[in-house]
Amino acid sequence: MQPTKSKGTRYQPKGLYIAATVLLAIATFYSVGEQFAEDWFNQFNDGLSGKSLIQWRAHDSAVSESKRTKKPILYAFLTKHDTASLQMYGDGFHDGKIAALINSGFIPVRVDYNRREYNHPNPLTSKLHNQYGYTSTCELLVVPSHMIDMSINDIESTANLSEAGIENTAGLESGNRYQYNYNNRYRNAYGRTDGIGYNGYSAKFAGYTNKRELIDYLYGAQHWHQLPPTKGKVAWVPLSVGNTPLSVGNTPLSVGNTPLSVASAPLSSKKLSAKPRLLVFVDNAGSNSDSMRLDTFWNSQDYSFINQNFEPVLLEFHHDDAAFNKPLEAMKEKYGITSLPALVIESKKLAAPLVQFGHNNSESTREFLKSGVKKSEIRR
Amino acid sequence: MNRAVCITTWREFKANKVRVILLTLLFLGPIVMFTLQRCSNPEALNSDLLSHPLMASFFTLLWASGVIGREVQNGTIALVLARPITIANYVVSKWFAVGFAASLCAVEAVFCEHIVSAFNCPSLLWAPEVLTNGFERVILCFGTAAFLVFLSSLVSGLKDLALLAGFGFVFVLYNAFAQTVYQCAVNTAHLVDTSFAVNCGRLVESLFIGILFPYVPLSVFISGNLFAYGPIFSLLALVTCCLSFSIWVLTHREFSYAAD
Repeated sequence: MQPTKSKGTRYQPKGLYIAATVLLAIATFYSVGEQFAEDWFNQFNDGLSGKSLIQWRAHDSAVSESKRTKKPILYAFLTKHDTASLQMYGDGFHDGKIAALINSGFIPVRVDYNRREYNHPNPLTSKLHNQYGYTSTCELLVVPSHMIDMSINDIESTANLSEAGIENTAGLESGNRYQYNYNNRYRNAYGRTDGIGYNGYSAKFAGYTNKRELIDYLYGAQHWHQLPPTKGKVAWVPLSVGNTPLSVGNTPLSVGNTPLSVASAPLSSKKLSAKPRLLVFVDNAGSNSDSMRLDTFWNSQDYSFINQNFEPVLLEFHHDDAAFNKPLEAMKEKYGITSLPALVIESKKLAAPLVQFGHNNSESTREFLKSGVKKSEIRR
Repeated sequence: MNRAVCITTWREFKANKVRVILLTLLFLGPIVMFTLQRCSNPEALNSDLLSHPLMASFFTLLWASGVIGREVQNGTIALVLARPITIANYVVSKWFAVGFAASLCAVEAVFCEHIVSAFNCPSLLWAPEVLTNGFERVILCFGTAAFLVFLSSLVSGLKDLALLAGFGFVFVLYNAFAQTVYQCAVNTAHLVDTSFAVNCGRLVESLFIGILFPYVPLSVFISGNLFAYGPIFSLLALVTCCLSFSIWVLTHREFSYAAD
């Protein structure tokens, strides 16, 4: 009898078994190798390698180039084998428009991080992590050229109302700046599609959502910290008044023989009051100075008090701009001020000027101002 | 592959009202959500306005739970195998039937999700975001289907769901344990070289993830010049191994005509 050609029910598909064994061996080899011989495998599997449309710079040359050209540095913190980083690199950075925007508006620096390096992280990663403290495995951070030495708190902070997205100054005036609507009118901000924060002006872009939101971020980021910070509602007297002699007793202060600048010329024609002088030393960047600008210079209680009781002079320094700061440095030295912000209350009735170094919060500053007025009156 | 086995699998699903209701809900949920989102935010399509390909796993679970186990429980598998069909053919047909049906549902769902946009701009249907999302779903469906078919071949009835839950529970336990170990490794990194233990831990973790979520990120392939071989090998190994084990288990098992 001729044997049947059909296979039995319990036929074993040896071809499938062999294929499964081979594929399992390759997958195991691949997975084990990926964990234990990563460098070799990265030749074939590094998703962050390959030709890029972006002209990446080395960190040190980027810093010097940024100081020279005044362009902001854009750090791209990318993590190997991280989905968001792969998408940022593959989807975002390979887009022609995005690459052109980055190349023209920023000095881009790539910081590749490998999660497995936590035992021996490379020096650049450690340095930037200590300075900027990035928390996401995939993050973009813009650092304006004048803020390269500053911390992440200073870079993220801003005292420009538009950059901060403050449309309703009622919150600032009442001392409750976090309880009022931001981002509603000046720019069309919206919640990010992944629910992490708002899209709008910001120093950071954590994770990756899509090209549109990345472009939104980049447009905002290239102007980050380019707008002047607010001076609040304090009625500042011109800077040149800070160099004039103080009045004595109730005798009105005259400008005397000190020549005044054109800006303060109207003052020379009128008599100044006998109020104590408040010299406010602030930086144009940095969270402490920003906090003083927003919490004290905009607080109705504080600015009314200052306008009534002081002759306020604003000495505004430009961070990392020695040429601009040079004329002001003498004032700093005069009062022994080493860090900004600082407040100095000066009066003929005070034996020595009162100085507040730094700005912890608006309450402590308010107390300092009140105590300054009180001491001046006691002396009187 | 046997066409009759595939059709029987689909018909059997259709006869089960609970599954059909669940399938409908799985369809409607994302559609309603994304239609409302699209109506309130009429912007161009992007990948974040589509539900995640993970949805495909749920469709597969719905189609594949008890796909072989129920036939073992009812005793119908013995009748099916009485016909001139090999167990290998039967298992591959079941896998294909489940993977194909789940893929069809998952891909249809992703196209339905932006029907409002497609109505305004039909070319959006061919946007890379939709296509990659659709392909990723298909891959995920066939990968998950292979693992579920394997689980179903081990037991009778719907006990494969319990096996799957157990497997997931072990994964959660392992993750909790591994997090503690990783933390200790970080704290003692300056004293002892813990990289070997950590790498072993990651290996086990990638094994779990490769089985439970056989995802191949196609969007990365299409958008850039990148190529990640790992997920592809893992997927192929998962499919072939699961089918091989299912066949081996079923060929070494006795079937009764009587129901369990």
